[in-house]
Amino acid sequence: MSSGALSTDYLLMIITAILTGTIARWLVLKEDYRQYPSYPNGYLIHLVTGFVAASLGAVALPALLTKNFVAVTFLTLAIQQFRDVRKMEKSSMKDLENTEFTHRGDAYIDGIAKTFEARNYFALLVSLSASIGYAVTDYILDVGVVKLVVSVAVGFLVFYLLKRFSKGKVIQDIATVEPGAISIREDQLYVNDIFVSNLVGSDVAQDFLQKEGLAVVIRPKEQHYRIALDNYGQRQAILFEVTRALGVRRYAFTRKQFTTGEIAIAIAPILQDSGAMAEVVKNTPLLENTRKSHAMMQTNLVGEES
Amino acid sequence: MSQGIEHKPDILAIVTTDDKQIKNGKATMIVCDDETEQKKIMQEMALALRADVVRLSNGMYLLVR
Repeated sequence: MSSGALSTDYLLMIITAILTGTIARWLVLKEDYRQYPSYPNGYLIHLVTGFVAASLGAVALPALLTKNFVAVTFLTLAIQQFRDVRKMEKSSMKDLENTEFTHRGDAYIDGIAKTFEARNYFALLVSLSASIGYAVTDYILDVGVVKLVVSVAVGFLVFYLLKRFSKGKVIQDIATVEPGAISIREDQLYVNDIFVSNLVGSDVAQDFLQKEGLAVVIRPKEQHYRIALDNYGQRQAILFEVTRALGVRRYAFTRKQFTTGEIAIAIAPILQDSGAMAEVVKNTPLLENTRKSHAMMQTNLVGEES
Repeated sequence: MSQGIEHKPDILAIVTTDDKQIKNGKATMIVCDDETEQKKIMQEMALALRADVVRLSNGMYLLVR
């Protein structure tokens, strides 16, 4: 590789790394049934911040190679920028809370914001590894096409590993979800035999829920999974996803059954599709801040017990 | 209505047919002549206040939000 500040080699290295990092960010910028971020403005914001993150990762190695050690400190700038992305997402979602029928809840907002921050690190690490791949190949075999191919391959290998590492669990990994039957007994709403609410005292509300209401029951697969499912933030997130996906005409209830650990969700949705409702609940992310490692609880981390 | 699941509702009004049940409190208390009127008033107030309705075992309606 030539020692010029911006030789063709360095330019190729930087451009390849930036593109690989930005594409990595684009690949994890998915719009699924949750419809977040919204298209096209949300997309644009995150693609641009992803591009900036990839640029910072891409120029780190050339800076070192040209003995510009001080320039590497701009990586701290990257950290600051990613934290700002998290703050931006958080405040944006909190501002929208009052416009939704059901709140996302602080726990879900925190989880989503952290994911957006983490995905900027994806862009940075992928572009950094792509540039490392390019530089290492350059020392071994100075063939342009090979360097490009290896650079992109290393970038996507790191992307694959990061994606696997950061993949979260969903409700169906820890619980079964089945449709439930809505009934009214003594002016109280029940799903199967789980008491859900007594806020349905009027005849109109009772008739409405019996005709239009849909319900699901979530059963934890193991007793220790109740810790996550009982969490307010987790249940709020499930309720939010259901109301967001199916729409809601009126009423959105959730209740846990203390003895069995079952969770009942009942709503009167716009779209009358109980299969879709169960599917949405199954695919609701298990929030990072409610997850507990059962195996870790049995580990003696501080040595022999006395 | 936008609410979190940990939301603790406030009692906005109470609709009853029994004037002996009138006690002090911040919620508006409405005494109706009979059950038909009570249901009608409860429904109208629930719509006006965008409130949920709880029916107590003594026949009283609470309008909460």
